[in-house]
Amino acid sequence: MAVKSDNRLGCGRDIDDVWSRTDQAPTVHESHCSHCQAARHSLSDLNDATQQLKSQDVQDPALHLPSELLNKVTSIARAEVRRGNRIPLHRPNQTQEPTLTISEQAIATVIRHASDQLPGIEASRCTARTDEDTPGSAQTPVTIAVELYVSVSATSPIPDQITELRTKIIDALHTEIGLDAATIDVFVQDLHDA
Amino acid sequence: MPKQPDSAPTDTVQSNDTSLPSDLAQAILSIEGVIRLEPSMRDLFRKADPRRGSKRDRRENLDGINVTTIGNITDVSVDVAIAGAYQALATGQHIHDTIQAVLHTYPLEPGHTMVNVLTIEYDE
Repeated sequence: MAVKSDNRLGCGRDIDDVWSRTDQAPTVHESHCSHCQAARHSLSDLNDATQQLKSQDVQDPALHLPSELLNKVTSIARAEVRRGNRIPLHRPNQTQEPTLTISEQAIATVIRHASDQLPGIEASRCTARTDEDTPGSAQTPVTIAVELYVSVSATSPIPDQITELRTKIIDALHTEIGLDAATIDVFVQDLHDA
Repeated sequence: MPKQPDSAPTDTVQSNDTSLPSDLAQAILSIEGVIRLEPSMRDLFRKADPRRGSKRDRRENLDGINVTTIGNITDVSVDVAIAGAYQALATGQHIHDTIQAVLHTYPLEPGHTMVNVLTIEYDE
């Protein structure tokens, strides 16, 4: 099998194209081309060897992770996904890397805790991101944009409940984290009986 | 009103284990408001990093603490869980100052220090 330096066989075909078709019947060209036939044969042998090694690895107990370690990796991976983005909490100046960050999940925890203190509000999904217009510096707090999805009580006017909720969130973000909210978008998804 | 931790970090850290990550862990966990150091995927990947412990690029870590020393310059990154009763910014700043204080007890030049508040927990 002649292979040129740019992965082309002696007949000009790209070996990657031949590789992609090893599990299919040869084309008319491949049926009559000695270069392609040799490549198909070699690649088929390589594929068989690879599959054999893979099945051996699956059965090899030395390659199995202890269940405790597997559970730990899975647990940490899930936690990482839940944490979301990291939002700068403090940076010495706008050109330097931040020295303090907080996870989106931690911010959501504070917002939900504030929401839970209002009897008519049930918070669900919450996201937070840095407000790019005011990235913060050593002198000014970082500002964030918040989106919160809630269910509200059907017994009280919605605007009043949302106004109270926003006030609560603004206070919680500033007092309990040290962030200011540039925007708080509240989406009322549902009504419930109080 | 969330509490603020004590403002003055200790100048020296007493420890039977003289490794920097252990000293950092002990100092950070003694700060009011810090619940624990948080493990992350980065900790798992760093433990598997074949470059760990090379002469040029020395990396040491405990779960939640990552120390990288290149030459004499030491970068530190910590991941923490804090209590909701303590302001995250103030607690994070206290942790940052404590790390700097611990580094100054070693013959090292502090590089970049990063504190990541990954989790906030409330007593219910």
